[in-house]
Amino acid sequence: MSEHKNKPEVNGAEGNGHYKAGIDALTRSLHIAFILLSCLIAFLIIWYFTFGGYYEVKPQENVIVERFGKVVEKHDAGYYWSFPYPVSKIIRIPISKQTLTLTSFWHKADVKAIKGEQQQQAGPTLSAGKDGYLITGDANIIHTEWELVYSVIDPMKYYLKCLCPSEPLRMDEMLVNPVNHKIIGTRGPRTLIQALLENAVIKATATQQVDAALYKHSTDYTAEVRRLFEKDITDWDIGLKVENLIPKSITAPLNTVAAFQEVIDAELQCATEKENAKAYAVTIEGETVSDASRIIADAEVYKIQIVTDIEAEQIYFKKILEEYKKSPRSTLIALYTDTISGMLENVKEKYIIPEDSNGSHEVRIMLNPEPRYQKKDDKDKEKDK
Amino acid sequence: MSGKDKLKILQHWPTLLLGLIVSVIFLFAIFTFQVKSTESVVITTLGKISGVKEAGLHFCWPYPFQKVHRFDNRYHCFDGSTGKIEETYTADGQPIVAGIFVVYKIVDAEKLFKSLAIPDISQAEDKINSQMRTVKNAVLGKFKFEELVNTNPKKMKIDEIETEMKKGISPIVLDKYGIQVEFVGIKVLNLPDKNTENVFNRMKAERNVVAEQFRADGKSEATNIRIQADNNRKLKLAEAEAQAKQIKAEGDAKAASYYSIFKEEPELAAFLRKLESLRKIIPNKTTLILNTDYAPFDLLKLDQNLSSDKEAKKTK
Repeated sequence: MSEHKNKPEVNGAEGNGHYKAGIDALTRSLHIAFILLSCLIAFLIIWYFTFGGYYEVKPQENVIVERFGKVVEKHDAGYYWSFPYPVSKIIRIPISKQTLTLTSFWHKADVKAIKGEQQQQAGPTLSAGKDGYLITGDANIIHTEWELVYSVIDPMKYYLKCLCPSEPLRMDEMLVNPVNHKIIGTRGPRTLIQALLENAVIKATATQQVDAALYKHSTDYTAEVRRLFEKDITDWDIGLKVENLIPKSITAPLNTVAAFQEVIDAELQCATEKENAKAYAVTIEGETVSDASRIIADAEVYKIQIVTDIEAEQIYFKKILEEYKKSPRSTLIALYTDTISGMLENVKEKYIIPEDSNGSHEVRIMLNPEPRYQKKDDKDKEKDK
Repeated sequence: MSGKDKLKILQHWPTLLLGLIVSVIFLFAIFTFQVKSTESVVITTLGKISGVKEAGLHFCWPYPFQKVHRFDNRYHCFDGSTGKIEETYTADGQPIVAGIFVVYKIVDAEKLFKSLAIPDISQAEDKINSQMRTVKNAVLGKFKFEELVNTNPKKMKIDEIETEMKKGISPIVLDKYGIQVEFVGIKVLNLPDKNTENVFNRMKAERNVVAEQFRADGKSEATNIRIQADNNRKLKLAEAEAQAKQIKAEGDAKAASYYSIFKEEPELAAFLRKLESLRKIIPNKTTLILNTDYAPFDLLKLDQNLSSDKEAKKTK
């Protein structure tokens, strides 16, 4: 009865006919809509269980497949199919090289200066927990900044052992203080890697002398940090490999940089002095070898010369002796005269002084016969010549 | 139900199948849950723990009858929350500022769940944190500062310190919370702020000493090198002189063997030597003063005599 009240008012058979036609049209429309919806749902279900399970694995990642939560397989780069979620879930693990920069031991002022936030200024003290630094084996302070390059070599171990974000390709989860909403830390694989690296750096630095860590044996220092860190990574067996670990910077505190620079300057000065002395030694050694050779060569020449001279003299003597034996006096006179005449030819000034009536000689000699200074005119004449 | 009605229902089998599939999926989602290989799950039924499930597909009654509490059982790294970097003292009274981290994993999810007011890992870490603070200060107080940092690796005992801290933390958190601490490591090792200024001053003073030492060493070593070089020169020249003397002596000895010829007529040899000496010792610019007693200037004397004889004849 009430239905009749709600029905639109129609008149007689004509009204009933219109109503029925409307109902039929609505029924057909709903039927068609239902069929379409059913087809759509069927299509979606079919698509879901066929094409919906395909996925691509990129070269820089590996995929771990979980079926009902259990890890069942791992895939390298390629195209694969597995039952879609919720039956299977694929976890993408990055296997490309990842970089982690460790600034925990770097001066806060330096970090800000590097970022251009403020000028590099040295405070009188360092604030523990804010200004990162390290204590060396000789109880000095240094700042270091490290760059680690690592890669995942065993994605299964990495995923199963190391706390990862739900999507391991993402960065570590940030931990936020619920009161002041400040970031108080992170949670994830990089947090663990960073903590292990910090531990290795502290241990390696704690046995180093400040000079050794800063410049004398910084290579050994770096090698020691790497050795300790690689040992940790191997011991933990979390499927990682250290590709490279280098110190981006190792420096003395800003306050003491000038003092360290002075040491470097002094060391350079020391090295320069030593090198100069070594150069002197090399020069002297060369000269000594040269002089020693000359002395020996002179002696050799002397030896040859004296023997040659005496041989020549012997020949000369033999020939003179033959003549001497024939006529001793005339030979001697001839030799004497020839010698005297030859000698006097070369003598510049000769004075022959006869005896006076008393049979005595008076000779007055002006010493130093050659003038010490030439007259100016004479000099000019010589120049003209 | 009449046969006509059954036939009518069967005509709609696709619709029924579709509804069945959707219903199965819906029921599957409501009455099952999955546990991953990386987690342990505690199930509570009406507030009471009814089981701990490992990886796989499991049945459960829907909320609010049963609740699923998940705990990740992989390695967690936690470096403390409240007071994670604190000043403490070593055995020799040296103040230091230290911070540590622990690597842990949940081995007994049920125990952990029971111990927490709110089943959240942050709550568990707060429990570990208080234990970390206590043990850190106690252990560092047993070791001297030189056992924390020392240029002699044998005297440095950071590994022992970490092991002792682990021994202090691990049994308690395992027993109380079902958490296995795998490793305890030092993450921060600093000095109190006021001490860093003293360290800076000491470092500067030490650097000055080192710089002076370098300069002194440089001068000293350079001088030594120069002296050594000079001495080597003297030594080598002396050796050369000695060798030269030996060579000259050999020459002289050989020359002496020729002197025997001069023994045939020693006077002639002496005369020839004298003549040779005369040639050598009188150079070009010599002024020579001789009298007429020496030949050939005695001829001048003869001429004088001759002229005096002529004059005498004339006077006669």
